[in-house]
Amino acid sequence: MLSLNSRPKRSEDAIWRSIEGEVVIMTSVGSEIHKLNKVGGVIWELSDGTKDFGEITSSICNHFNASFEIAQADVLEFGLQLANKNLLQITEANSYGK
Amino acid sequence: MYYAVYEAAVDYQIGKKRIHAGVMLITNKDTEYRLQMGDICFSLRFEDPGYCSFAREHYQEFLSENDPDINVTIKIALHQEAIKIPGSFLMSKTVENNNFSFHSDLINGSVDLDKKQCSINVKNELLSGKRIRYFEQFLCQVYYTLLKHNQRNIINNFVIHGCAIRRNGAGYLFTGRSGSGKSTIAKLSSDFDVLNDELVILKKVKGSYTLCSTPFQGDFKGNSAISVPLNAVFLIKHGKRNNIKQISKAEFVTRFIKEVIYSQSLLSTKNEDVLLEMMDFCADVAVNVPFYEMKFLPDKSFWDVIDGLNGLNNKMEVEHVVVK
Repeated sequence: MLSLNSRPKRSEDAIWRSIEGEVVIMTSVGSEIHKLNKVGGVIWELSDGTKDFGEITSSICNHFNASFEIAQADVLEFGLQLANKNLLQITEANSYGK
Repeated sequence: MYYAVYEAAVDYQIGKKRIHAGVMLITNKDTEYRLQMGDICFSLRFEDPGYCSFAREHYQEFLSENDPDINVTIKIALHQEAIKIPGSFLMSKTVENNNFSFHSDLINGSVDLDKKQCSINVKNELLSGKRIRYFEQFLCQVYYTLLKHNQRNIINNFVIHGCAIRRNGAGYLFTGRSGSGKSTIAKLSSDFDVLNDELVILKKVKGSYTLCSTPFQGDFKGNSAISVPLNAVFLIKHGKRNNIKQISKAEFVTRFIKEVIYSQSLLSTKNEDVLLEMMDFCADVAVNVPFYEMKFLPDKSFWDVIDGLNGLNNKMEVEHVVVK
């Protein structure tokens, strides 16, 4: 279960490029290809392991002029989808001492 | 020239040729076939003249008299058991020093690029019917290997699963999964020059993309060994009406990269760098070449819709076109 304090990091197995704001991701075995829209692309690029979902949600709100409450639910759901596909590794708050 | 003694008559899956016991005079011409693929000349050397004869007939448009860039000695491994081929043949490879093996020795061998030598053992089933495409994919990997070894610019020189047509001096690339209609497009374009309906080379020359044919054809017979500047790329599928629409660059890259033949070198097992270079290539194509998604009817009318793409830039101004 993800929370705003969970910290996402892109999988090292993921090969990706940002193309006009959208992101194309392949796994290193080349078995799956994913395309993220512009919102997903921003979340992906911010998922470098140094920011938690709360900070990422704030960035999304600033980028796309959205309310925090609505953005929060979408960001967490999106993060869970990527984590389930092993594209994101999630570190929980108690793991990094926050 | 040399003499070969065959101790038994053998039936071949290809061509049903039968060689009887006895002494045969065999020349180099009977056992060697020089195959031109883009800028690379392969000397394919078969122990068995029957297979060489098959190659000569199958790839006749691509016979070369150039000095070979590599000599590929091919030994056929006869087998009885059924072969199951993995979904991704080229990615099923193992490598140890100069030796490689694809999917448990369906094709195995060794390569010495400095000596321009490659020796392989091939299960005979891979040289018959539609399964020959796996052998041809192997040759594609040899092609990539030589390009990289020769330090030629491979960044924008790739083999694409697609149908290429030359029409009024302009090149059109139609690409998509098996069954999407590439051979149908080729058959409907018989008024023009069909480079290939299965595998083509797409390379960047002096800033512009050029299509080149390859010896490796699909269901359409009559490929031409020619090159043409690329005018547009169409991601195709059969449809109930002709429809061409714009898609985003990222959508194009996501779909087009699936049709790029895996560009790993024979003796490499690194996937990440290869996938990145393929992705960068697709992104570069998207920046430099008009591209569309196209659904088409099984008749020649799709060419009328293509002609209606005003100047073949990304602005759609014709009927049967949906701007996304």
